Amino acid sequence: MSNLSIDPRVKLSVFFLLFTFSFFLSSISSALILIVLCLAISALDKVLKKVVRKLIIFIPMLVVALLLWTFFSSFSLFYVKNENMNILNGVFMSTRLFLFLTISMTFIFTTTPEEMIKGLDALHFPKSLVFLFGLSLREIDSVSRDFISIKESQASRGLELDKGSLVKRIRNHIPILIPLLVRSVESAEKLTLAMELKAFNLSNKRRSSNLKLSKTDFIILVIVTFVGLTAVFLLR
Amino acid sequence: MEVVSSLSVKNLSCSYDSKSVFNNFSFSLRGGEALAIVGRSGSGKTTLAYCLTGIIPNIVQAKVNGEILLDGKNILGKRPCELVEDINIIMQSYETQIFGLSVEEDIRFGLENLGLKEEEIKNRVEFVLKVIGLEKYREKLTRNLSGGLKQRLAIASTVAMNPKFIVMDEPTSNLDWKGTKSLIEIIETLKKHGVGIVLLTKRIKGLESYLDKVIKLDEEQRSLSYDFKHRKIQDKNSNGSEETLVELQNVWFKYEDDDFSIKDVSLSLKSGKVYAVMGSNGSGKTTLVKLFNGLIKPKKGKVLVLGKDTRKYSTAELARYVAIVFQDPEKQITFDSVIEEATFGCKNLGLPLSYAYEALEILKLKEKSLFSPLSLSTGEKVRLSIASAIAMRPKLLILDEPTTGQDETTLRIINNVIKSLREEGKAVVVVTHDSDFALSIADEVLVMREGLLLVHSTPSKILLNEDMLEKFELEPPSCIQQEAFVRDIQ
Repeated sequence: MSNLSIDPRVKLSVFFLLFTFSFFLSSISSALILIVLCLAISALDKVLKKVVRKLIIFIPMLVVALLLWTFFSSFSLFYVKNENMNILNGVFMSTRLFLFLTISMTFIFTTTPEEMIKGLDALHFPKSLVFLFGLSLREIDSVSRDFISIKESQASRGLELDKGSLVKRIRNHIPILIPLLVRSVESAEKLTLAMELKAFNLSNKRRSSNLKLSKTDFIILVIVTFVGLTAVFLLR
Repeated sequence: MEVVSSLSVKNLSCSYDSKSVFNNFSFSLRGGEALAIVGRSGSGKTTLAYCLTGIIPNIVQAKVNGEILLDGKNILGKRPCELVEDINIIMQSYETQIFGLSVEEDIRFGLENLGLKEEEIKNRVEFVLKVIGLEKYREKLTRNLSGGLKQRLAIASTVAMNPKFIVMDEPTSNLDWKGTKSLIEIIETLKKHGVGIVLLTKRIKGLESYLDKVIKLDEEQRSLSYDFKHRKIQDKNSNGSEETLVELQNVWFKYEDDDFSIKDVSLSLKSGKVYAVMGSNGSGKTTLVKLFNGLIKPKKGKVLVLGKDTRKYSTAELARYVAIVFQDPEKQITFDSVIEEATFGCKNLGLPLSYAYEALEILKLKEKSLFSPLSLSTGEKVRLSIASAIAMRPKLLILDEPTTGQDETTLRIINNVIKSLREEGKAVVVVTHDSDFALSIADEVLVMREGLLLVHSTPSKILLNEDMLEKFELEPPSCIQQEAFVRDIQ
C-alpha cells in the first residue's frame, strides 16, 4: 500500500479474498463486518478520507437499490419466493452492494498500477499477460492525458462542451474524439517501434522482482482470512 | 587497444510513394565523435534516423537506396532488433521508449531481452546509472520523473545495450536551458566512452562547441540566414493608450491534491504589448496562461478578462477575447483539410469565415488550404494552429512554446505575426525558453519559478544581465554566449 509497505502478492490476494467472501456471505451482519474490515485497511493506509468521500457519491445509487430490491424484487431474475422478507432482502442487497463499492474503492486507493503489475508477476501469471497489462495501464494514462489537452485546445477555439442539450453535448465531443483516435493509433505505432528497438521478445522469462514476505504481510493475510471466514460461515 | 568503429553513409536516397525525401546524402563518422545533421522541419531528419536504424524499410515502408556501412559492413535493410548493439535511436517522443516501472527496471528491460547473463546485466546497469548520472533515481518510478529525466533514462537504457552509435532525433526540442546543459554533459561523456553520436536537429544553438561536424540536410537551409545577432536590442516604449485586457488579482491555483502551482500572482496584461513568460520546466508557465482564458479557474483571487470574472464564463465564451495556441499542434487536428481546420474557431463563435482565409494568408498557408493537415510538416502544423487562433481575432493571443524545435522560416513568420498583432493594438503572450526570441520580440518579461512570479521587467534588464540569467536558470542569449566563448578563448 502506498503508505504501508505490504507485499504486492499479499495485497492482490487480500482483495481477491475479500471479493470472494462478499459473493458467499448471506447475512447483513457479515457484510457489515467486511465493510468495517475494508475501512480499517484503508485507515491503516491513511486513505480512509478519500475512500469515504468517494463512497458518499454512491449513496443515491444505494437508496435506489434499496427501493428496487424491497419493492420490485419479484421482477428480478434471481427472485426466490419469500414474501415476508422483502425489506430485509432490500437492506441485505444494498449492504452487499455497498460492500462491493467499499472493496473496490479501497483497492483503487491503496494499490498503485506498479504494485498490481509486480504482484501479478510475482504470482507467476504468464509474462506476456503481465506485460500486456502493464502496457494497457500505461496507455490508459497517456490517453487520458491526451484527452484533457485536446479538450483544452478545442475549448480554446470556442468549442462549447458543457452547455446545451445532452445530444448537443455528445455531438460537441466529436472534435475531441477524432484527434484522440488519431493520436492513439500513432502512439500504438510508436510503441511497436520502441519495442522493436528494445529487442523485445516473449522468450524472456525472467521475473522482475525478488519479493520476500514479511511478518506484517503474514499477519494481514491471516487476519483477513480469519475475519472473512468467520463472517461468511459463522454468521449465517 | 580498442578498435574505433566507423559509420559511413554513401549516396543514401529515400522516397515515400515516389515522393523523394532526400537524395544522395553522404556522411561519415567515427566512434567518439558527435555529428549534427541540421534541417528544417519536413526536411527528412526523422526519415534519415529511421533509415540509419533499420526502421525503414522494415517497419515503416519507404524506398531506400545507397549504402550504410558500419565497420565496413552494409547494414541497410537489417531489422532494428538486429542492430540494437550497433546503432540505436533516441526518438523525439522518448517517453514511448520507457517500459520499466522503475528506473533500474527500465534499464534492465532491454538487457534481459538481449538474453544477457545476470552478472553482465548488473554490471551494465551500474555502469550506465553512474555514467548518465541516474544513481540517485534508481528506485524511482518512471512515471514520476520529469521530462528531462525521462529523456536521460531513455538515453541510459539505450546506452546500456552498448550500441556503437546513437542517433538522437531532436533531443533538445523539449528541454529548458538546464536540461540542455545536462544533455551536453551526457554527450561529452558518451564521446569519451567512444560512442558516436548523430544529432538530428533544427537548430544547433548552444551545442556548437561540443560538435565535431555539422551537415545540412536540405538545400533551402543553406541559403537562409536568419541572424539573431544583428538585431538591435532595445526596450520598446509604451504608447500611452493602453487597455487592460487580463488582470490577475492575488491568484492562487492548484490541481487536485497537489501543492499550489500558482502562488499569489498579481499582474495585468495591456493591449499593444508582447509579454514573454519564462522560467524552467515545471515552474508554472503553462498553468499561468491557462488561467487567462478560463481553462482553469483560480482557487483564490480573481482573474478578470476585460472586466469579466473567468469563474462565471466558460472557456468557449472567453475564446473571442483570448486564444491559446498549445505546444503540440497535432493535438487539435480534427478535420480533413487545412481550411476546415482554420475555420473551426470562426464557426464556433459565429464569425465570418473570411477571417480564416486571411489568417491562412498571413501564415503563408493559403496554397495548402485544401491539403490534409496531417500531410503538413511540423512547422506548417504550428503555423496552422496559429492561423486557426488568429482567425478568431482575439484581443490577446497566447503562444505556448512556439519556437521549440522550429526551423528559421517558421520562426520568421511567427515573429512577423506577433509584430503585426502588436501594431494592431492586440496583446501577445509568449511562453518560451528561447532568450533570443524573447529579446527580439517582447516588451516585458515575466519570470516564473515554483509558481511564483519572481520578476516582471523589461527584456534587457533580465536577459542581458548575467546574474539574473544564472539566478533564474535561463538560457543566455547568443550575444552573451558569444562573449563568454571569446572570454574562454582569451
